[in-house]
Amino acid sequence: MLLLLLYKRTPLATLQHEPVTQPIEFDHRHHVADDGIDCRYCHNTVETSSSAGYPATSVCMNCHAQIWNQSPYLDLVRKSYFTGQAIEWKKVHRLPDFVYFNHSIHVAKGVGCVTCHGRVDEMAEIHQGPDMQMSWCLDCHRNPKPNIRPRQYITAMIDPAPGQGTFETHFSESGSNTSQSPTTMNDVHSRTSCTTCHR
Amino acid sequence: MTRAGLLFVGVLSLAGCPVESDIDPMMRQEKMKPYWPNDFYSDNRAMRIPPANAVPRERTLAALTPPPVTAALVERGRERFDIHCAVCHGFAGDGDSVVASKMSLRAPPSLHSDKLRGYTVAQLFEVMTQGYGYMPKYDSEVSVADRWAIANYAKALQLSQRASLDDVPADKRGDLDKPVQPAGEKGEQHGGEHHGGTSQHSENKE
Ligand code: HEC
Ligand code: HEC
Ligand code: HEC
Ligand code: HEC
Ligand code: HEC
Repeated sequence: MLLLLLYKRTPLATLQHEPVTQPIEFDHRHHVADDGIDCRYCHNTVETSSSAGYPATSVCMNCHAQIWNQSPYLDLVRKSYFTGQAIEWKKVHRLPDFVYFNHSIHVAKGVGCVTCHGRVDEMAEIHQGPDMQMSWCLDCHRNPKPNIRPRQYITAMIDPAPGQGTFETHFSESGSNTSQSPTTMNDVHSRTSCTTCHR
Repeated sequence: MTRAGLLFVGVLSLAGCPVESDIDPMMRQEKMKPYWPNDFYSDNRAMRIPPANAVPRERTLAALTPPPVTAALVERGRERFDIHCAVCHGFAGDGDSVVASKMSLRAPPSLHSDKLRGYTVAQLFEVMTQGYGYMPKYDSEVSVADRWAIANYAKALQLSQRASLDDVPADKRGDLDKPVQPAGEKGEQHGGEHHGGTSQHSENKE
């Protein structure tokens, strides 16, 4: 049993840094960094539902009907579009089924994608950044403050200045009115009761 | 209206599931969540496709009539425009974007042509709902309320691109000498600009 517990926490079992080979070589670097597409263009349920969602094939075709519309890289996208058969993306992150997680609350309260998913704009293939063990959730839930940003920067891929604190310190150090700090604006609380995540 | 867009949603394959599923039945349970595969259904999707011509309950007639224009509505429109429209039409609506530059058939036009300035809010709503030429329809990605918000913002954007000093209220004209506050949304993905946006934001608060 002890062995099992240990095994669970090694990077292999936590899925960390494990690149997943997808049916299509979809590259976030090109779409996010080069083309400047907002995460919510594709993951368009992230603000309203528990799941961030995967883009429908028709979303790819919004652009790819015109861009690279002959490319063999996109064969599967066109096939899916014309047959209605789903593209089977492989799931990269997956919490145990006894955990309740919800994107919309995190986004509404100002936790940015980059805080939990890392620099997606620099990943050729998405891999899981943090280990996503219970302690990781709790570290933030005990004191969410340093991780809260103004809502308009929710999909921005970096903090105010690399190595120079957080949005929160940024607001307090610049001497601006603390009632304007992201934490107070978004009415953020600490949530540590077991039923927050196990319900 | 059918929601054709929803027909082709991806289904996940859980082939890469770690071994613990064999060990702990709580870890991997017999239930369905959005986007999961499920072999109970012949198309292998847990998410079901609504029957043809089904209409969401919230889509009432009232939702299809233009809402009153408020600052909040236009602000919402700006946010949604920057997410869903600016990728192709450009943040300024002038058709200047990376994605547009790669289009092989026809790139989006500028929203500031005389023809498009003549469009009413309802016509813009209609273009988003039905699509236009090579532009696909956005009815399944952008909600009805958000399409109204975007249409109103697009009208504001059109005004802004041909504004003159006379359009600025006299008591606000002094502000025009101040450095322009870069719109954070535009630089979102890029570090430098983004930082500038934030610090100026706090300065203005003083
Ligand atoms: C052009 C559409 C598009 C854009 C824009 C986009 N994504 Fe994705 N994203 C996808 C697709 C398709 C997948 C599934 C394939 C994969 O995992 O690479 C995906 C997968 C992911 C996953 C892994 C999901 C899992 O299976 O666990 C994360 C995390 C993610 N995206 C985050 C982001 C973030 C953060 C942004 C914005 C910085 C973003 N995406 C922008 C299309 C997009
Ligand atoms: C908003 C427009 C847009 C959307 C939506 C979009 N793409 Fe792209 N995609 C592009 C552009 C532009 C390029 C070309 C990049 C280049 O030439 O550097 C591209 C390139 C690609 C490539 C070629 C390899 C690469 O990464 O450069 C693949 C594969 C691809 N996209 C898959 C997808 C899939 C799958 C989806 C749907 C989940 C999607 N795209 C949605 C604009 C888009
Ligand atoms: C508080 C941390 C957190 C934040 C903030 C967050 N995510 Fe996630 N994300 C997760 C976790 C945890 C999962 C795995 C969920 C599961 O397995 O049920 C996940 C899964 C995903 C997935 C896979 C589909 C799904 O919902 O299971 C995508 C896509 C994704 N996130 C995109 C995003 C985008 C885009 C943003 C920003 C708008 C974002 N996430 C913000 C923690 C976060
Ligand atoms: C970087 C910070 C951060 C991380 C990491 C994080 N959360 Fe949260 N979470 C928050 C904040 C902030 C809230 C909003 C609290 C409030 O003000 O109500 C929240 C709220 C929630 C809620 C809703 C609580 C309610 O009362 O409805 C759930 C559920 C939740 N988180 C689950 C998780 C799980 C599960 C994980 C780990 C996989 C996780 N969170 C990781 C910051 C975080
Ligand atoms: C912020 C969200 C959150 C809260 C609050 C929380 N948990 Fe968890 N818990 C998780 C997540 C996420 C996991 C799964 C970690 C993994 O194994 O990937 C987990 C796993 C567990 C497990 C299984 C551990 C294992 O190693 O298999 C137990 C038992 C547990 N939690 C009990 C509790 C109890 C008791 C409380 C209250 C004191 C609590 N949790 C509060 C998120 C939370």
